[in-house]
Amino acid sequence: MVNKVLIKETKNFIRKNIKTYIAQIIIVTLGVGFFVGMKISSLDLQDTMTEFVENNNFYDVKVNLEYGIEANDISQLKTTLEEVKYIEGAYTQDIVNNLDGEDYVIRLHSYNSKNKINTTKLIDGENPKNNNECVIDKKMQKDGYEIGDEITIESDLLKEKKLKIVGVIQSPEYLAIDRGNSTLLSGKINYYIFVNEANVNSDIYSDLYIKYDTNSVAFTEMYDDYIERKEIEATYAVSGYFKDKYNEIITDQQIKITSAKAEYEAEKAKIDAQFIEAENEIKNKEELLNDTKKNILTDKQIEQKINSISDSTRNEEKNKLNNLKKQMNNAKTTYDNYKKNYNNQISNTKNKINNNEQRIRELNTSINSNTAKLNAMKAQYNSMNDYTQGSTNNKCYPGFSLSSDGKRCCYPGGFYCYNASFGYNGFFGGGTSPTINAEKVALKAEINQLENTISNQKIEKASLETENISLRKQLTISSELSSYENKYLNAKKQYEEQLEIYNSMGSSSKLSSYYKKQNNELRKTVSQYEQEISAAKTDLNNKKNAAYQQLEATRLEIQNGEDMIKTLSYPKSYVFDRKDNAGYGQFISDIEKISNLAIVVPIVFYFITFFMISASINRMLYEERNQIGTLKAIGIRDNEILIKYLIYSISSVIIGSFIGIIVGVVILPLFVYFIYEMLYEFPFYNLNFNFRYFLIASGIALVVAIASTLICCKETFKEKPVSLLKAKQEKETVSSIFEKIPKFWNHLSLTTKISLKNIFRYKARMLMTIIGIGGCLALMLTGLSLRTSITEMIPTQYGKIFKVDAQIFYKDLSSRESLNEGTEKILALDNVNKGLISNYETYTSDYNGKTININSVTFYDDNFSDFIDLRDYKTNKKLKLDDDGVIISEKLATMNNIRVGGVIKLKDKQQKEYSLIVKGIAKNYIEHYVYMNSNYYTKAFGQEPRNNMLLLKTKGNYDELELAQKINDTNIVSQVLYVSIAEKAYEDVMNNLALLVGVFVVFSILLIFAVLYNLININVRERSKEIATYKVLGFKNSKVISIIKRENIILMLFGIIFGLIAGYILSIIVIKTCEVENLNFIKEVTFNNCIISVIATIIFTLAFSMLINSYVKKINLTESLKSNE
Amino acid sequence: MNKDNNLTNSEIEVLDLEETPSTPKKKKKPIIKFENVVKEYHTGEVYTRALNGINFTIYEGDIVIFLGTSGAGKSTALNLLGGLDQATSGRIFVDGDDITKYNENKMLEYRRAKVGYIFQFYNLIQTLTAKDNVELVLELCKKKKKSNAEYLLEQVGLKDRINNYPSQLSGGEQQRVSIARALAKEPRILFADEPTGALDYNTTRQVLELLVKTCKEKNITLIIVTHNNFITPIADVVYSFRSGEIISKVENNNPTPVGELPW
Repeated sequence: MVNKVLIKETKNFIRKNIKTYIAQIIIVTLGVGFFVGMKISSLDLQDTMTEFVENNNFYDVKVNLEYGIEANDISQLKTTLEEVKYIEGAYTQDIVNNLDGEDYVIRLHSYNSKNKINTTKLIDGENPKNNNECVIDKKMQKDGYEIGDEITIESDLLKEKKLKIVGVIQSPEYLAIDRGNSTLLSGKINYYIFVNEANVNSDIYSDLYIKYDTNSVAFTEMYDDYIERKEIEATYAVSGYFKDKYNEIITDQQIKITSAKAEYEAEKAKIDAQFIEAENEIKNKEELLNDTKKNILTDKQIEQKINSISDSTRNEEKNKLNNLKKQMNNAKTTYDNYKKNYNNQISNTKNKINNNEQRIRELNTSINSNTAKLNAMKAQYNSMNDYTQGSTNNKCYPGFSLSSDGKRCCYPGGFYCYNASFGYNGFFGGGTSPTINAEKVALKAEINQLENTISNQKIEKASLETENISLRKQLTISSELSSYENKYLNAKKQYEEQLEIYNSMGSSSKLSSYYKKQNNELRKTVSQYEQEISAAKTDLNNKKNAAYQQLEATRLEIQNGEDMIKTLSYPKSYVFDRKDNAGYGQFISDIEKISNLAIVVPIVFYFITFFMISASINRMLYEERNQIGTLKAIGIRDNEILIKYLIYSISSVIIGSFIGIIVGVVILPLFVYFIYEMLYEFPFYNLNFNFRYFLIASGIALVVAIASTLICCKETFKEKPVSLLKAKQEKETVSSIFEKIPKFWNHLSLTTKISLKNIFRYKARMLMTIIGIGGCLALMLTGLSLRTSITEMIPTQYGKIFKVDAQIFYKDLSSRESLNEGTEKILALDNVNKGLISNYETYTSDYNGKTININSVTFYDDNFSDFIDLRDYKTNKKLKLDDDGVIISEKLATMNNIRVGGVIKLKDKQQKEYSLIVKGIAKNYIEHYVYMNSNYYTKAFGQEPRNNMLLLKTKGNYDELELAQKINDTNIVSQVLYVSIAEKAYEDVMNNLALLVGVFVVFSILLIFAVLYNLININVRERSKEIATYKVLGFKNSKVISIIKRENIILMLFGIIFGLIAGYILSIIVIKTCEVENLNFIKEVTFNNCIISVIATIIFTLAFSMLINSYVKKINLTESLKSNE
Repeated sequence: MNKDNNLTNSEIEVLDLEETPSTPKKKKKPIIKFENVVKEYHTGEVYTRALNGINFTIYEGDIVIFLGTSGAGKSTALNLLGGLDQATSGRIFVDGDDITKYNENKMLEYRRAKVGYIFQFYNLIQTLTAKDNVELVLELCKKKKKSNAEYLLEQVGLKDRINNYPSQLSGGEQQRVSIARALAKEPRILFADEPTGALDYNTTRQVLELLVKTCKEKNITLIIVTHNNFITPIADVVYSFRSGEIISKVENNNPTPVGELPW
């Protein structure tokens, strides 16, 4: 049964203690707000991304195949997998593309409106419909590319390379602004672009995406387990499918090779056959040659031959001679006769031609004169009138003229004519009509006749000319004539030859010379033959070689084919799940961090809340002891009296919680979004009201409030009414530690001794003050440490560890000389100080099922410390590279529990794993690094590291763009990355993170205010009687104030010591909790921060201590001194 | 009696702590009886015997005064009687029940139902008006509520001050509120611990008049603790305390009305 009046009293009570009440509300708001805010923030972020990935059907499993996959492969593969909802192929290609003078790494994707997996969200514009269209990502849009711009994509995968940007999209494959890694250039993808699938001129998809028909939700354990099973199934299915396919291909290939081999042999035989013919020819010719050679007579043979000539032989020859003579004469006669006839014919023809020509000349002259005459006659004719004029009556009006028929008068141009009989003088008729001009008629007849004449002449001329042409042809020498001539000449030649033989038979010298002459002829023939033979042979060889070369090429092809079969392995397939997507994996770990922060920090807040409420309640109970006693005496139950304090506590918690909710549900999550927008692209903002966390947060606050209230009340209410009605019994003075050190004790002033004694007497109050002040200092120090850690990271990393000003990537050059030449040019540039050629690669590593990215830098000698300063993470000593191992960055070591001597495992793009021995661990704050020298690189990776990076140190003032341009102009460089730009990018990220931490620092400062206010209030009011007594005794205000303040200062000092220790521990814990995967926050609590928090605490405490001044001055002495003793 | 107005030893011997035959006996019911009550305090190693085995009986309707100097034990006895404290040994009977055997709850009931208090320093709830202070108590005993706060305050002559806060009332007015509050319960016994200790003569007179009149009207047993023996004549019985023991009991057959004391 609740006493209504007591409830009324409660209201008055709250009003009386309104300042403490509000302070309590603020403390609860901070605690609840921060806890709810952080938890909900992580949920909101998670929700947003979940919604995005689920709406866009982010793949469950991705399969990357070495040789790609075709559409019919996909449909066949589907039948071997279970619970598949969608299975689709897509084209992906990384290219280096030059846009506006700089090289970028772009990942191309194919867009198909029918695709169900990894659908893109359209942010602006529209999706590509035609082959000359593409859509870009937000990053590219931010960098200045707009809808309507035209870009050229140099990819052999595209049919149409000139593309117009028609829209901006966001793909679920890229949650983070960091687009991921590539093997090209610097290893980082700059942008992603989607082109129309129809624009891709390949039938082979590079990636396969699968989405399963499952109810499990992303980010849950159930989902993870399910996908693990599915990955295994997919791995087996894909590799099994391709194994079969591979076998098919091998078999096909082998059949092809066999038939090709057969063809080859046939071809070879054909060629050989072809050449056999030619070879035979040569052989024949060689035989002929040999025969001819044989016919060449040696001197001895000539002698023999001469001696062998007998009479019969001579007679034979003579007969031959006579015959030949006859033949010759006959041939001559025939020829002569023919010739004579022929000559006559010729002269006739010539005459005729001349006559014709004469006649033609005559005709020409006549034609010409006739034509001239004709022209004159025609002219005259035209000038004559058709009609004679007739009488003068037939004049026309001025301006009009008589028409040619003389019958009308016409206005020039014939616009108007009137009958001439209405002439000028004979308007009403009169005058003679015109008559036809007879002269003209006669002339016409003459003209016609002359024309005829001319025409006839022309005809005659033409026919004569034609005749002449054919006659002239006849003048050419007849072939018959020449053939008779030839016959005669041949016969003559034969006769002459025979004559020679016969004559030479007469004398041996003549014969000998004849035979020698014959020999010469034969020799000429021989050499001719030899030439022909060698030419033929050469020709044959060339042709053979050519033919065989063709064949050889084919033979090599077959050989290659066989080799290929030998070396062909099963096409490798790599199966990935969502966690392997860099953005997704990173996101999961980041929201974990926020969620963890949500737990750690509020614990401290609640702890402080408990203390504060206890302190407040205790004070109030103390002040109202008398009243409580009275009420008990009257007979009011403990519970009824207690309710007042419970209402006070509970109502402050409820109000604080509600305000805290607004902070936690709206303000903090939006702020966290703002911060994480630096790292991720959020398609929208989900703000959840999560009832659960609200209940948990306020529930805990409520429990804390009720518990502390009840605990305090229990103490008081245990007492008998009579003791409550009196003042609280003071405990005996317990001598403190300090008193036991006489040397120390005796030096202190009285007031100091009083202060110290007081402090130790009221242990509970002392403890509360120390913890209150200390706790707040701890919080502030933690906030500052976290903030310093975050903001100092960048300058330390980019100032002390990375001393490089620019990172330059070489083009893929084959020539070492051009690389060196170009590098020399770069080093000679004005603002370049020095350079270091090195190697840069990117690898991945597995950590807790997630993929993390690792940068690898290889140096060729030891002189790299001017560029990258590697120091031991514990001792800060400089680290050296040797041939036996690598140096890894700190976080990498601590994450994987690797110590010096241990092993780090890296995977390359082909998922091949390498184990490297760790010889040193270096201080590093941003990303993960592995450093080694070229010897170890060669050992570990089996090949020499390629020179693909130049580290540069610059000097003086320069324009970054200009310098980059000059470097680009050497044509050996594909990318220039200024460290200052990377630094700036991280700075932006860090500044945002620092803002989040700033929130925390502000919270802790507000908490400090609330706590200090409360503490001082309590301390002072609990001792109202004491203070009043001092004053009544005659102490000045300032003296009283100094007594109390002295105590507070001593307590504050203790509080500071406690706070520094607690703060140090809390800082390290919180920094570790807040860290994101690829950053290594500086885990140091700096001296500066300690000083700052200490000074701040001192200032705040002293400031709030001013309250004491006003209290002491205003204290109502009589009220305070009244008591029931 | 000697100079200090204390009973001499011989007089003690004469007096009987039971009824004296010379007084015509009124039919009085004993309401309170103390049997060998001892009360000790411990503070660290220091023992204080506030009451050293006292015995007395109080009759219903009487006005009793506990007299003594500071530290004599009179307040202690009152506190024990009122259920504000617990005896170390001995028995205390109120209306036939031994209240030393009461647990906390029963004690509360006892305080609520049977007794009313008036304190030297009024002990009003500062944040409630006079009316509220009285209503507070009225709410406790809803069954018995026959009168309301305003009426009660009127009875004590504070009709115009019912909405004032204690800080706005004078000492006497505050004490009157206190009385109204105590009477609101219609208790069987009313305890007053130095009720006029903080008041001047006139106010003392007024307050006492009020107390006596009301108690006599309602047959409430009134026990007043005081060190001021000027007012002893108004009581029916006066017990004198010294060093934790009752050294005398004086009965007044004809108690003097308050107004007739030589103020």
